[in-house]
Amino acid sequence: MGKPIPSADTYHNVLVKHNYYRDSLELLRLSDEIKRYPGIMEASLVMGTKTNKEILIKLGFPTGHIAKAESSDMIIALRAKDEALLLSTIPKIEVILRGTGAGGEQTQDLDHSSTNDRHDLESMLSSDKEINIALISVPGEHVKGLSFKLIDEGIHQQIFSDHVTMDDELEIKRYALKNHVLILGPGAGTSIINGKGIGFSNAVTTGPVAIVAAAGTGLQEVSTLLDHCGIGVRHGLGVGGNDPKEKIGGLMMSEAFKMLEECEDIDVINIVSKPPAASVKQNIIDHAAKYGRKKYVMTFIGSNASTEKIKVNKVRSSTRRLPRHSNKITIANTLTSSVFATAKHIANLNKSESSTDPIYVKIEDLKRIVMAERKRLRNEQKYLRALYTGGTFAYESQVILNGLAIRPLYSNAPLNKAQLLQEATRSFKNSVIDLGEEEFTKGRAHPMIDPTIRKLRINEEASYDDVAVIVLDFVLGYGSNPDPVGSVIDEIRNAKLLASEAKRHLSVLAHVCGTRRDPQGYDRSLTILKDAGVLVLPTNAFAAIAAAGIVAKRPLDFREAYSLFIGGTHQGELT
Amino acid sequence: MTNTKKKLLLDSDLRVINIGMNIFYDALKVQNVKVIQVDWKPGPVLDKLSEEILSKIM
Repeated sequence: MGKPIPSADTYHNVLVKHNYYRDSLELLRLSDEIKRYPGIMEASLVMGTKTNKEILIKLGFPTGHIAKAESSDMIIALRAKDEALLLSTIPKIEVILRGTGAGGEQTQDLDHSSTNDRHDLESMLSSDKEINIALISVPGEHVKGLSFKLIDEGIHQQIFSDHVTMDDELEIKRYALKNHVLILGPGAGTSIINGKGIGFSNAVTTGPVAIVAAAGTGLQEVSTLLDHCGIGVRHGLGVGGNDPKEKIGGLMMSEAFKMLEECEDIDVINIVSKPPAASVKQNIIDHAAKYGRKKYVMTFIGSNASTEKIKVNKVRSSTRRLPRHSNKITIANTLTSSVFATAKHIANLNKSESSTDPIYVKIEDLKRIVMAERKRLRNEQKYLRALYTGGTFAYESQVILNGLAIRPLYSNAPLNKAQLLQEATRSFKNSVIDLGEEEFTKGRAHPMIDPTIRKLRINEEASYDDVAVIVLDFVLGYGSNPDPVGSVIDEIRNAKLLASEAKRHLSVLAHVCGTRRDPQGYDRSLTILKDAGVLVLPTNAFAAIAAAGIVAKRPLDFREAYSLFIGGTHQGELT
Repeated sequence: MTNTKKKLLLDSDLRVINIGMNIFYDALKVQNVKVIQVDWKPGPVLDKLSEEILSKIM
């Protein structure tokens, strides 16, 4: 333990516990608990990964002990108002850590009461034959063995874990298919089965739509936007981002699609994915066209009609219908246009009017908002900085920004290699940052849960004279931070204040992905943002178009932007 | 034809075993889904060489 170091009326202490592992979420919970102690100003309990060490240094802790910590070590970093308080807190933390230090496996029983009984996985599986799905979120290198064991027991699985190799994924999925087991993931953060969310998910109405998604926040966006339109989702099966790639061949995407095809209470099936491998895409479209009895929306985010294998109408639009199956299959290229296409199918089936007004922004309204922001910028303010917690939002925004010729554009998760940021921790010109990428999450909780990195980044981006607009997503729902907006609102206010003191106006755009029944409060979140001067858009696509409009070198052609990325049947616009 | 067992998953009440992050256990519990929590801790990860040696002697 280091001696507490006084620093500008505060004291801090850094303790490194060697070879001492705790789960990142457990450490986040403990950090939050200790921060609530009277007089404690900062408390960070983290594993000693590179990212975590950099963050502690940015938080103002001395580098000495931190630099020496290994990724298998735990770092306890505290800041307090007085030395005695700091010294008395360390033993309390030790007691708490000993209390959470159970090794092996610990269970809580089905009637939801905690128990200290310990069981191994095998005995539990043999004693409860009603278990029908496992949700797995252990480090990736341990997934394969666990998954095979569960397949042998006939248990379907949603694998949230990342860092499972594609070779292992293929092996797991082939073995699962032989044994009639469904594998959602790896990397599947979200699913909905019979209206119940598994993983990161939202309180959506149950209804006639089913979604197969290879993009987690894509599933959340489509299901919540449909909910705002009064359209329910019964099932949403997340198959993981690698599934539609050539190597995996869409094994589980096809399987999930066929399962949903057999559901009598489903009218529309929506596939949500980055553009799949050509063969995978063709298989799904062929199956739907030849055998499908439902209506289909194929949401291939960023798909380009000129590279489609199938013949499509030549109308330049964000949604395209296949000519020979014009009433059956629609292709969409953004999550927003996907929702409009789904709503249209539902409206046609119900022979009623589509109800997409709650998520639509009229062209003239968006143009007015954007032009007002542009007028307030100084000449040197040229660039946007998008700080996303949802990977699909980061991807969709890049599709839109590239499509609207916002240049130069960079990202830590770029659409093409030429746009790769040299350092994920440092933005350059127009930058879209996916804070859920590995470089930010190794040894830390996902940014949808832990806001620390984004808080630091908002402060940093606001300090640059050439930044015009910061774009943020807020994902509500089960599994997410209990108050995603409230946890960063001070940083947003400070960012705008900092800019204002430097005689600049800083635009902050946001989109809240959630429903009115989500535990964090959708309307409350919107109100907090608006009160802080944030421009809130109803979907990520509208937010991206607005951001493009603010930084575009020449005024944006909004009709063109809507035609490309929104779709054109709303309130008579673009029709 | 998809196997009946898979189809049953979409027709049945969920009964979940959560292996890993507690936050997902809590999220299921709030929705009144029947769930069992296994608080998983990593076992020792062997490097490749050790694995090979062990596989030869066991």
